[in-house]
Amino acid sequence: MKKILLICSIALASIGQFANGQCSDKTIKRLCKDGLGTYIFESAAFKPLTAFGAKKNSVEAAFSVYSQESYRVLNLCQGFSDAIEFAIYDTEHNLLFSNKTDKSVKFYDFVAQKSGDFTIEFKIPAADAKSTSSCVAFAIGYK
Amino acid sequence: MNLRNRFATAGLVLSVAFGCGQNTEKEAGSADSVSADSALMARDSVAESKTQDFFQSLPSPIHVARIFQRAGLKFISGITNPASNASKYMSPYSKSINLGVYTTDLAYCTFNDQSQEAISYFKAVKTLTDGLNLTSIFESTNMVPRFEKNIGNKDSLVTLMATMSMESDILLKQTSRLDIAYLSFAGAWTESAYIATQMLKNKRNADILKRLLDQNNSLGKLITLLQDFDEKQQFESLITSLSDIKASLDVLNSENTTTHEEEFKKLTSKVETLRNKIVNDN
Repeated sequence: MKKILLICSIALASIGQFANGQCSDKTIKRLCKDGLGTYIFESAAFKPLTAFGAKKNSVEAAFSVYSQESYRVLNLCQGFSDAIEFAIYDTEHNLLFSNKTDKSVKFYDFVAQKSGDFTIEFKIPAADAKSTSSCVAFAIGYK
Repeated sequence: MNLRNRFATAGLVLSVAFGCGQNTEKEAGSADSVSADSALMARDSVAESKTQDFFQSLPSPIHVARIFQRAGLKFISGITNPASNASKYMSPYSKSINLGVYTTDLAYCTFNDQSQEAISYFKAVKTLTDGLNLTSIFESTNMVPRFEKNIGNKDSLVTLMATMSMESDILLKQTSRLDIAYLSFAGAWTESAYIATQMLKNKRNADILKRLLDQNNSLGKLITLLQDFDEKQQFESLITSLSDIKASLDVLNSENTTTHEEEFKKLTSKVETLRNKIVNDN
């Protein structure tokens, strides 16, 4: 019984390590440097898709903005079967931007009109819902 | 203990073991640091399954310092926490929270062209990151010599601070050392509020006051994130102090202005008390 417990636990731990490997710090840093351009790094958030639970069809995150400040939001999602659709909402949850018509667009630049929380929403393709190799990630830059 | 719990416990223990094995720098740290770090790691591996850090992204303390500077916050000599205090912080808690204090002081000096003080704070930040086994933040980019070489060149110093901020932010999230990230932000938030209130106490400035009131949003998020770690007594005290400060900011952000002057005095006092507690806590 103890041997079975140990083997299963090692397997579970290994799966966890593999999943985390999809959001590697080196990859995120490289993508930030390449994608932020002249914007200064503010913050990044990254998690394996598996961290958000099963059958997620969208993932949302809030990020702080200050009025009259210039920002770039950078979509850094990796390991999906197709380019990820994402949308940005302002402090009142009005849609400001979506790359729905051209998913190859990876960033959105804006000047915040009001201080508060903006929201980024990622649409997860059904084909990837149970993917263990997908990473949900974004970065914020400012000027 | 039922079978399900046994699996969960064994999985957790192994995950901690695997996670610690990933970071070779920890093996080179002092016994005290490694012990403290292991305690942090053990709890963080539990937090790792949660995703609060993804859902609630906090702003950069360096950007906040920049926003205050643009609003007109001038340099006040002697207001920052002396860099020489860095070696006095011994516990993981005091190292983490004062790391944030020094990050704000570094940015405050840099944006106000105080290059020599800035290099002292850059070294203070390095002292604390080393003490928290976050050595790679500086080592990977050879940052201290680059900072010294660019003294007087504000744009280059800002770029180096941003690099430091990125290395730190991504490392802490990659290794799920979120309590260090949140405590550091708490220290940075308190220090920026302290500098702003100290200036406003002597000379009112509507733009700086507006930016101070804007910080209420990130403070609310920080309190929520810290509450995830409320099993620690020191965290509970910090959460209580920050919540008390937030209550004053809520009043000042309200449309009823009749009590604002009195409330601002309360806010200044609360921020000063917490900030002094943080910088004097070894």
